[in-house]
Amino acid sequence: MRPEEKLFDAITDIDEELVESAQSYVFRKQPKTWQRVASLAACLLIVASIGFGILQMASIGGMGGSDSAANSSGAAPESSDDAGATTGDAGDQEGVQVTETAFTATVLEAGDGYLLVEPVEGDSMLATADRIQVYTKDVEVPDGVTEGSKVTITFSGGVMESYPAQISDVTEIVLAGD
Amino acid sequence: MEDARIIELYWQRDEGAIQETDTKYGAFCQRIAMNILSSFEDCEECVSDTYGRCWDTMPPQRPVSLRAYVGAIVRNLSISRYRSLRAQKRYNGAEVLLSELEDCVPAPDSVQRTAEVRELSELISRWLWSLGEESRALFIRRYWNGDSVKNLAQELGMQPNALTKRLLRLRESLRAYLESEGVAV
Repeated sequence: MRPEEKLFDAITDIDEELVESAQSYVFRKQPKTWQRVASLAACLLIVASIGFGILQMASIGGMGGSDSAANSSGAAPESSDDAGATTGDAGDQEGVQVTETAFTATVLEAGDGYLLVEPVEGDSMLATADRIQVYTKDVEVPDGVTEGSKVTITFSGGVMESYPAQISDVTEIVLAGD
Repeated sequence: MEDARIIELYWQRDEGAIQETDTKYGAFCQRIAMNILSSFEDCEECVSDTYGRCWDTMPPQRPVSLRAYVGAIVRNLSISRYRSLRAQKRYNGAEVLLSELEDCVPAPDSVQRTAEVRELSELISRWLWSLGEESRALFIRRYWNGDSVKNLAQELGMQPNALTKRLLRLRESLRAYLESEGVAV
């Protein structure tokens, strides 16, 4: 018997439970390229809107503070200049908070420059997304990471809620112990 | 009808069991046979033989999943038929003799299979359990059911080429796993 025939025969006798679950499994359709681009654009728009909103609120706060000094002039351009300066100050004061998040996931696909992963059962990341695309261009992927491997991924950026979700600023990928 | 009820009919030697199996899993069996044989006539014969094999093996068998059980039988019968058809087409003496001798091999579901193939099945099962749910279903639908890449790609909403690459990576992962377990196929 040829080796591939032996494999073919062996596959016939895999666990009944495996066969049964595969028959009822419904595949989730991968979004088409234009859908990904659209969702990316939508995300950027939302981020931009939120950013604009924050700027607006900060500028209102800034105007409130300088109201007593220059209230009656009614010179709109000057007011907006003030607002700009105040916003800048506010931004500097707040600073940038970098928080790192780590989660453990199973590798579904190990592609060139990316990993498609599924957070393991019980990991809180699973509540955020069940498919996450991790770009690995700027981070070292340990040897032996292949489909089915469990890895712990640390990142400091945000989660883009596209499908699959994407994370940014990945700082570390390590093989997770069983 | 519930699987347990159909199995009970086999155990009671009620011929209605075959009718019920055909109603519930006839199309499923035909698809598997067709994926292997690509011939309607051969496929019909295999499916009909499958019901005969179910009748002969229940009792003593009481499968947990009737679908997986009939699927494995029709798959085995289809592979056997494929081998015998291939042998006939080649008019190769040894192939014909081997295919005839295959008839002497006890039915895989009634008696023991070779330990080697059984061990391989167990390893493949273990590897499949280590995969994500989607990859697992994908591998089984392709290599157990024999579903075409085109149909699976459609279900997944991806290009057949991309799916082919994904399947290649799955096969490479299986090979790496079998090698790590010291199995030489």
